[in-house]
Amino acid sequence: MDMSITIEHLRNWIPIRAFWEGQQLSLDWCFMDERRFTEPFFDQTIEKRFREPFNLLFQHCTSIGLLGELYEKSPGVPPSGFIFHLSRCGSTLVSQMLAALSLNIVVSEASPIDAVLRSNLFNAKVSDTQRAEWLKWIVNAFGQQRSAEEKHYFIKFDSWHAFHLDLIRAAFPNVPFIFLYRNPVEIIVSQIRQRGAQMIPGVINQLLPDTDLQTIIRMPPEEYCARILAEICQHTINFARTDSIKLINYSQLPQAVITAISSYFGLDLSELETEMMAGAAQFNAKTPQLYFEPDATEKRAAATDAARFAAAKYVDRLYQGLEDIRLARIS
Amino acid sequence: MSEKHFAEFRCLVLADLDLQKRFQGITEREAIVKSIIELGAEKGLEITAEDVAEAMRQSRRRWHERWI
Repeated sequence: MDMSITIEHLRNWIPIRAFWEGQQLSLDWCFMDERRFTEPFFDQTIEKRFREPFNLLFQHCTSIGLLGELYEKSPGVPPSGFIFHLSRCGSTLVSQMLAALSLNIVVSEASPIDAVLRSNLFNAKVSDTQRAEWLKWIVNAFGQQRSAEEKHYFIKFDSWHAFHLDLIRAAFPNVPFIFLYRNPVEIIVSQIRQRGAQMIPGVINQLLPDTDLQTIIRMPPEEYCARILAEICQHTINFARTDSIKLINYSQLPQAVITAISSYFGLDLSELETEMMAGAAQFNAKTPQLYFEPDATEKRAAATDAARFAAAKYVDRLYQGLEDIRLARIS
Repeated sequence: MSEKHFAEFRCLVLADLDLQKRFQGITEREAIVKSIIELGAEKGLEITAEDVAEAMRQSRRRWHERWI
C-alpha cells in the first residue's frame, strides 16, 4: 500500500475490492475513466475494464480511510434511490432501465458495498456506527460524477442486504427505498436452476441465524432457498412497518419503472427518456442479447413438489404479508 | 529480483499521471509489455515479460478471490 496516494490521484478511479489486512479494511482501485456503469452487474463492468492491460497491471491500493477524505472533499451525486429485492424478481430489469439514461449513475450489487455492510462479521470490533460511516463513504465514492450529464444516482443492493435495512436507513435517512419481490415458488424454481451466491450454503455467512453449517448442508436445496427468502421477507416486513419503503411486485414490471418507481425516485421523465427506458425493457436484463419475456407462468409450471412445499411452508405467508402492506398503501 | 523491480515500476506509474496516460492508451498486451520493459530499463529497473505476465495473473487472482 502506497501511503503517498491522495484523493487527487484517484480521480476517475473506483474501489473494486475491499479486503482485510490485519485490523484494517483496505481497497483495490481500478481506473474507470469517464465510462458509465452500463452492464447488468458491477462485476461485469470491472471485468470489461480488465480487458485493457493497464487496468490489470496498475491498481491503487489504499486504506478505507481515504474514502473518508474523498467524502469530505469531493461529494458525489447524492443518491436518488436504493433498490432492494428478493432476488430473481426484476431488480436487474429496473436497474437496466434506469441505466438506459446517461443522466443516471446505476451501481448494481457492488462487492465493496457488501464488504462494508458485512464488515462486522469479519472483524467483531467494527461497530454499527462505523459500518454506517463506511457505507456513506463507499456510496459517495461510486457516486463521483464522471460526466456533467450525471444527475441521479441509484444503487441496487444484494438481496441479503435487506438484513441491513435499518443501518442503511440510519446512514441515508432521506433516500427513497424500493423493495421488489414476486411469488416465492417462481424464485425457488429460478434459484434451483442457477443459484445465486446467497443460495449456496456457506458462501454468504449467517443468513440463517441459529442454524449451523452442518444442518444447512444437509438441508434440501428448496428448503434452504425458501428459508433464505423467508428471512429477507421478514426483515423487509419489519422494516416496512415504520418506513415508507415502496413495495413493488414483479407483476407490476416493467410499466412500474416508468410510472411508480421513477416518480418515487424523483425522476421527471421526458417523452424521449420514457421511450429509452421502455426500449431497455424489451431485452432480458441479465442477457441483453435476448428479448425480455414475463416468465411467471412458465416458472410456476416448472415448479417441483419440493419447491411448492418449501414455498408453502416457509415463505408464502410472508409473501402475502408483503402484498398486504403494498395493497394497503395503494388504497 | 526483477519481480521487485516491477513492483517499484508500478509505484512510479501510479504516482505519475503522465506515465499513467501513456500506458492507458495502449490496448495491446504485447505493446504494453514492450513499453514497460523499455521504460523500466531507462529507469534502471530490469523487468521481464514474465514479470508483467505474472503481475497480470496476480491481479486476476486477487479479483477472483474477492468473495473468499
